[in-house]
Amino acid sequence: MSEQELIQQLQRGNEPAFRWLVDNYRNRVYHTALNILQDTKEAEDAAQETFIRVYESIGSFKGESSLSTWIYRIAVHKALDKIRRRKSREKLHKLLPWWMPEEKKSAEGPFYHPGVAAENKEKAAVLFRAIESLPEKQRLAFTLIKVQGMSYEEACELMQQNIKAVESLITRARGNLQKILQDYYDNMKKDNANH
Amino acid sequence: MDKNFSPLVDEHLQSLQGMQESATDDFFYTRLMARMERKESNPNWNFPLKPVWLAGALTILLVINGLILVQQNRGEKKTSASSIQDVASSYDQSISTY
Repeated sequence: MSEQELIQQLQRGNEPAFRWLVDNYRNRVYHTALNILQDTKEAEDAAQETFIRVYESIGSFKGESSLSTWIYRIAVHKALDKIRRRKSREKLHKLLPWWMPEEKKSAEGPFYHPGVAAENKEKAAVLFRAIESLPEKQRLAFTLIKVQGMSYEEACELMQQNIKAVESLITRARGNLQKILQDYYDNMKKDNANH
Repeated sequence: MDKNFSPLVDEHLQSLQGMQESATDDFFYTRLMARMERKESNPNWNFPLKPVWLAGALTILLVINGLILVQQNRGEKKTSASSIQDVASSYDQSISTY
């Protein structure tokens, strides 16, 4: 089935076509959401919301980008929305800790990526924690390109930014990550010296 | 492209070498359909029960309440001043200071 045929069938509300689409895109959508969100439950939720959005708005899909780019762009937006909501919940939790007691628990603890080899999980968790503290655009560019391994062109299309802007985001992200990781290891050394 | 000196970043990125694509389980579609059906059967307006919305609504209510109280106080002052004037004029009297 060509992409055009698939789009037409989806626009007609054809359920087998929708199932085919979900089965073919669910893993990459989930993987993208997981890399951005660093939380399996939220990634599943974002993946579901992505396909619901695809189902609801396929009628307005104009074909300005490829179907896959459009789907991944929705997934990225859904994941970023969740990060923003998480941050506001964390702020609220700091103000009113008795109101949302579960919030602190979810913010703590390292993220062990299920796709990373067992012997690398600890080191990857340190990197993911550092990535989490980057500003939103740097975090997204670094995750898509350096963690997920997307090409600069793909990431530019998803982020709707030009290549210079994305390169600059990656350079700044690298610089910030270097500082964050350096501080992390310096603090660890100090802690070890004190004990 | 990014030749900045960031050895720690490179060292940590090495840990992601050969990372497998994370996958959802085979019941993803079933869960998605269930969620879509729930959404279709319950499309009504949902009362925003999230704490942030409740706090916002409460703040708006308090502000409106405060504004109404201030408005009422001003109204009362105006009414009492104008009623004294009314009484004075209806008896054709004016307040003299001598």
